[in-house]
Amino acid sequence: MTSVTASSSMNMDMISRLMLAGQVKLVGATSLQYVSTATQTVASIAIPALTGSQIAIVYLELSAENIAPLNGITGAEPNTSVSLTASGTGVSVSVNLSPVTARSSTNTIAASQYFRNSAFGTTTTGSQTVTFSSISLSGYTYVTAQASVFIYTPPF
Amino acid sequence: MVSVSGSMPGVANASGASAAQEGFRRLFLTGQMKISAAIARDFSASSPSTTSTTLVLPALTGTQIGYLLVEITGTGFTNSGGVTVTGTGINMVINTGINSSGIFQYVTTTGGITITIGTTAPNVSGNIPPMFYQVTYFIYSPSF
Repeated sequence: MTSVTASSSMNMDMISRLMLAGQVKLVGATSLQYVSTATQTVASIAIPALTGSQIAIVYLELSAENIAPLNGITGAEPNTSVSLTASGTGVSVSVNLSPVTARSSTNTIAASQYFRNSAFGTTTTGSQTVTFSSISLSGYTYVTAQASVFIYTPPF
Repeated sequence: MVSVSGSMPGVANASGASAAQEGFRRLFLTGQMKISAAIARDFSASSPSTTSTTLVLPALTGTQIGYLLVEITGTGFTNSGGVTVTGTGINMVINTGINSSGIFQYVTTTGGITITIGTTAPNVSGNIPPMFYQVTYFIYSPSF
């Protein structure tokens, strides 16, 4: 398994520490796995009403495994890219991967490679539904798109 | 390779900012650090080749300190792209090339800044410019 090629260090480790501090709670999570070049809709998540200084954290995590060389694809490696985007009021967050897998001269790969990236954004607007969509440019890539929404109550 | 230029008071190098992040996480547990705002954008199939987004960094009070972390990653292609972060007192110009990443930090003791985060497309004709950034604003409120 190959390590991450693109990554935000603001990941679940940070959120889990905030949960330990009693400042963050999970309100919804959804995921979708697919192999397709068609635009995918990941199930939406409703953000409840926010009170006081609360904000909502929209967390996205994207992983992909490129299987193209195993399907007899010849020539140059496909310039593949995978993205996951959240849409909602005040929500500006998206994440991508470029799961390009090196090939040998015989168009085979030694082992499948796994890529992962995550990102998060915040919004102060509650009582709304956040929607998610994912696109892969390669029909030979296993994609797992996961989205979560947390409510964050800052300590000050 | 990631490079950065411009007028950047309080901007640390990538390793310094990375070390600060671990400190931030520990401070979460003590209630002295909070996330104020965050956005993340990518260049990919669903994104435009250029973007411009604003982010409001709230004003600080007392001994509070604001930390703006800018993370950028470019992957997969030979062309480079970049992110600019501009506002009153801040002008960061960060360029990223193939398979490179960096973390940069801006420190303020006043806040009250509206920053604009702009992106320059990696200019890969007909292909997807694979670039990603995460911008997070933390506020540290010392306990003494």
